[in-house]
Amino acid sequence: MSEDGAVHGLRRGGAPLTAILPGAPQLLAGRWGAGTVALLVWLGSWWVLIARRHSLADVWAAGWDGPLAITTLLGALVSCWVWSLRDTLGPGGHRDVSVGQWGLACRAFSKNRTAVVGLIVIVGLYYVALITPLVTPADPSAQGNLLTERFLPLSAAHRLGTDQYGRDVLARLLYGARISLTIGFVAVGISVSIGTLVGATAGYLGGIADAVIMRFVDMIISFPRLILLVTIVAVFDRSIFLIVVVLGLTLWPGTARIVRGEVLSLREREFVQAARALGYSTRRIILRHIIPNALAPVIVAATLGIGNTIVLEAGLSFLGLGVAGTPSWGSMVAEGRGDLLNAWWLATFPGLAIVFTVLSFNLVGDGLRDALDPRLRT
Amino acid sequence: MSGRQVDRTGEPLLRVRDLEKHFPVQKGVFGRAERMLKAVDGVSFDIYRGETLGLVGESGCGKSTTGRAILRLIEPTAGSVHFDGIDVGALDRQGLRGLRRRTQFVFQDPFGSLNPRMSVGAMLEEALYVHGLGQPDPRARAMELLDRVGLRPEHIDRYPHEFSGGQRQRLGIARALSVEPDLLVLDEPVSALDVSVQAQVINLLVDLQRDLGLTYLFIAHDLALVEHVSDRVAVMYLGRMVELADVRALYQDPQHPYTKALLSAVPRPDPVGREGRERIVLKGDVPSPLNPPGGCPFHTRCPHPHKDALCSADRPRFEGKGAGHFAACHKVGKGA
Repeated sequence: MSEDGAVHGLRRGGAPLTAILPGAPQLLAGRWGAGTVALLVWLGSWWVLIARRHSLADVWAAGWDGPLAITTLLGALVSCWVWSLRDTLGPGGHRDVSVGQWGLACRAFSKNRTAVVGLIVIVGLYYVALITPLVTPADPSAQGNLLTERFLPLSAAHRLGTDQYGRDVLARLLYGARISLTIGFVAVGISVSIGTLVGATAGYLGGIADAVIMRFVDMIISFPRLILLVTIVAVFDRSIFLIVVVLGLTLWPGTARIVRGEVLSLREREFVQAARALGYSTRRIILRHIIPNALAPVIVAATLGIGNTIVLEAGLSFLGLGVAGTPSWGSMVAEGRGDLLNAWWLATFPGLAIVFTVLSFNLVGDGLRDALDPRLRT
Repeated sequence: MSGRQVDRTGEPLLRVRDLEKHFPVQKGVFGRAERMLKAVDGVSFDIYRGETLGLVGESGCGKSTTGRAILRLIEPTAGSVHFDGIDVGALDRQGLRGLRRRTQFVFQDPFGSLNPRMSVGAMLEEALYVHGLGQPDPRARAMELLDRVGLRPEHIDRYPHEFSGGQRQRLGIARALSVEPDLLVLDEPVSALDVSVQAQVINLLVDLQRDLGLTYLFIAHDLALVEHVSDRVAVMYLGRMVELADVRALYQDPQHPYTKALLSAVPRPDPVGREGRERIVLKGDVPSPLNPPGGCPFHTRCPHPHKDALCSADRPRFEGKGAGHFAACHKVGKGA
């Protein structure tokens, strides 16, 4: 229905409609998901751009994140438009293109509605985090008048109210999203890279190398992570770099174990034997034949891991050991919990932000687990 | 093929002598290797250029292990393998890579032997790339290989899961052929296929051998199949070779009691000749290779009427019984 619908949309004048309103032809063709997302991105981005049209120059001049925000916004507008145009004008009907294992997994994933919703929420979060300087004009650390602007409830000027120093909660929430999302993404990126390489090497080489590496992994796993983090953060500077690296360097043993287990079974598979019979180097066998086939559980673990890392970072911030000088969701909850009765918005919104972000990552992780299940097909 | 002439006067392409592969069997939590599983226990044979040696035996008798140990896919415990005069056991990493170009392996399981994440083209081009072959256009060469094994060259961008079992086995053969080898070790290449597809793949292998002058070590448990494709046939039992002879000699005049029993189990589409054939049913199971019987490994099940104390005390040597017929049995006279 979807591909035929695109063709029919074209016949009904879908292309001109796309030129002004990406997402509209998809909606007319009955593709609610893709149409709504495209339309929301298109209208939302224009709305932000028009609402801030007078302050664009200031934003562009403000540090590194201003230009980045404007570039991202324009990029989103252009890609949204191009996508819709290509989707409407592109070759419809059945294309005779071979689909690999990853392509099949994508198809299976796109049929899982809750997982797709989670993915949209995550992508939306990253998008908003990138264009934050455009969305909110307020400085997250600028204090208001301590007599008149403390604990203001939700209003048009402060959409999510203000805290005990008169700072805008929405601005702090959006800037805090950057910390949480960056830490989750980068820390898991570090841990997955290290874990995959170490696990694959241990599993493929076997014997003494395997024993030595895995005992080292056991040692790191048995070390209480929170205490290590608290110690390091207490001794050194509480920079985002330090926290990301420490989180990344303590999370990889889990990935290493998963990968090693996969590799142990892959190593005996005949296509790996065939690669050895063809005289391929160990490096080539691990990188080209073993790791791509061991990656499915790693991707699932990584997605779920991002959610866990965000919670862990929130916990650190709650304990007062988070990134110094920048608002983060955890520290906002910690600061707001004392005033929960007279200013409920202080702790509630960052708390909800944590819940929905982590929930989205978990939904996507579950969706990926189903989509990548190798037992579904050979 | 039977009826085809193979020159066996010169140096054999592959010479295997006293090949052994023992696997340590661990026991206990901190168990050191206590017992050895003798999967291959002193196997010797030659394969001449252009011929097909069939290797048959029951499951677990060490056929596949022999095939893998010859190509050093697993390291043999003892014995020597010479390929075209080269001592395979003494090759270093560089030399082994050279060997990989000249010897290839076709696996039994068409579903496990192809990397599911690689397209057919990527798979073949990788093999060409690693060995510096197929220049200047590896993709054209890959398509040529697909055509060679009876697949459509347009399927070059497909993935393994889009092919049937028989087609996948053809892909495995194409991959083995990509490096232009001299010797192919075929490890039960058709056992996992339907009978009708088996015939097609076998015919492909026969054509390839004729056109490319390949030498085959054909491992199988289907005796009728082996008779069809082999020039000579070797029979294994419990990690040892019990008989090796020209295919006609072996099937019409088997010497070893085990071979006789095996052949008597082959169904013959010949109701007239059925009368003269006596079905030999072996008693008991194959003894565990962890604890093989002393003396002749077959003496516990041997139906030979003159079986005696010598059989259970002394391991018979695998020796020539005349006219290129080898057997390991005390009761087979020389020149028989």
